[in-house]
Amino acid sequence: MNDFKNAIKDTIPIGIGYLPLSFAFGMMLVHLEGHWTLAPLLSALIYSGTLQFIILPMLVAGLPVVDFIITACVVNARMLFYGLGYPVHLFKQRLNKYLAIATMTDEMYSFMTAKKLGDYTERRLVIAHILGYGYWITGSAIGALIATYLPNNLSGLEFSLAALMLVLCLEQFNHNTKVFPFALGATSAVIGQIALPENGLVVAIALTVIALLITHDTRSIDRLNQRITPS
Amino acid sequence: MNDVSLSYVLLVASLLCIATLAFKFAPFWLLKTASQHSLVKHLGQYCPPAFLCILFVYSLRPHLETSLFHWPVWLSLGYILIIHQKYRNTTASVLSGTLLYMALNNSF
Repeated sequence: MNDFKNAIKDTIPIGIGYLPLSFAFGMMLVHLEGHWTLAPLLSALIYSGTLQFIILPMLVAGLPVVDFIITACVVNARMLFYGLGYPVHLFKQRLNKYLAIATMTDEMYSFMTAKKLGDYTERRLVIAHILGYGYWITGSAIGALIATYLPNNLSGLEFSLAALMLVLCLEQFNHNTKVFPFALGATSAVIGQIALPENGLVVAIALTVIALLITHDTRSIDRLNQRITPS
Repeated sequence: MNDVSLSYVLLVASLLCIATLAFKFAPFWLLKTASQHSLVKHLGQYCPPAFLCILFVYSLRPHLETSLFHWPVWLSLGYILIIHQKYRNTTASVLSGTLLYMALNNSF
């Protein structure tokens, strides 16, 4: 029981972060005339806030399935690198380990890597992961229900995605104060948008990866950083 | 969303479920040995911020579609930038920034 109480305490900040976002997701889905039950269903299946927000307008537009796969690859690419630093050695049982990896998110990653968790029991950590998943699904269901039964003028709520993206960029910048990747991403995005307005995202990602492969020689990046980082 | 079929939504959601899980599990199975390679480290360091920046630009697109100078967007972004760098509270920044945008966008 103590593990459960501790896990709730551990995940309060995660819940505070998840609830408004999952609310917004549920509301946006109903706003786009989806049935409210789709909100918890999509949250349970996908469990990636960024991806869920991005695909909503795509679903409404009825885009081909391939577009969704490409988007998922772009949005989830950072997960590959989270995996490199995730403390899975804390999970001795295989099932617990798989549960933790399956429910890994941006917020869980920062919870698991921000402080030392050596004296936390395995059970407490697994419950924390499951709670995070539960908050996300519950929040999106409540948001969708509110929007269904208390319809209001919610125009502009989709801006929460842009706001979240900006904050995530700032968080990255605060951990890694190099301007180069941000300048590269922004430039690629603008070029992609101008070159191929319909599929700009793919162009932008391709340009970024090509540029990173070319600059693999890290000394050239250091020189670039020195040149563009304000002193 | 009324016009799209339920089976289409379910197909997309299931595929995204598989794709997301694959990305979460892949590094534990594949990248263990590659993680020391300098190219993997290089991509690991620069891809996340660059991709986030691309997604940020794309998330702005629907709000700037009519005009690049839709000022509530820029004002709200400036507000989020300042408030987040000052207090570093993700929830507060996202919530208050969105509310500010909704207020500005609906009143002017």
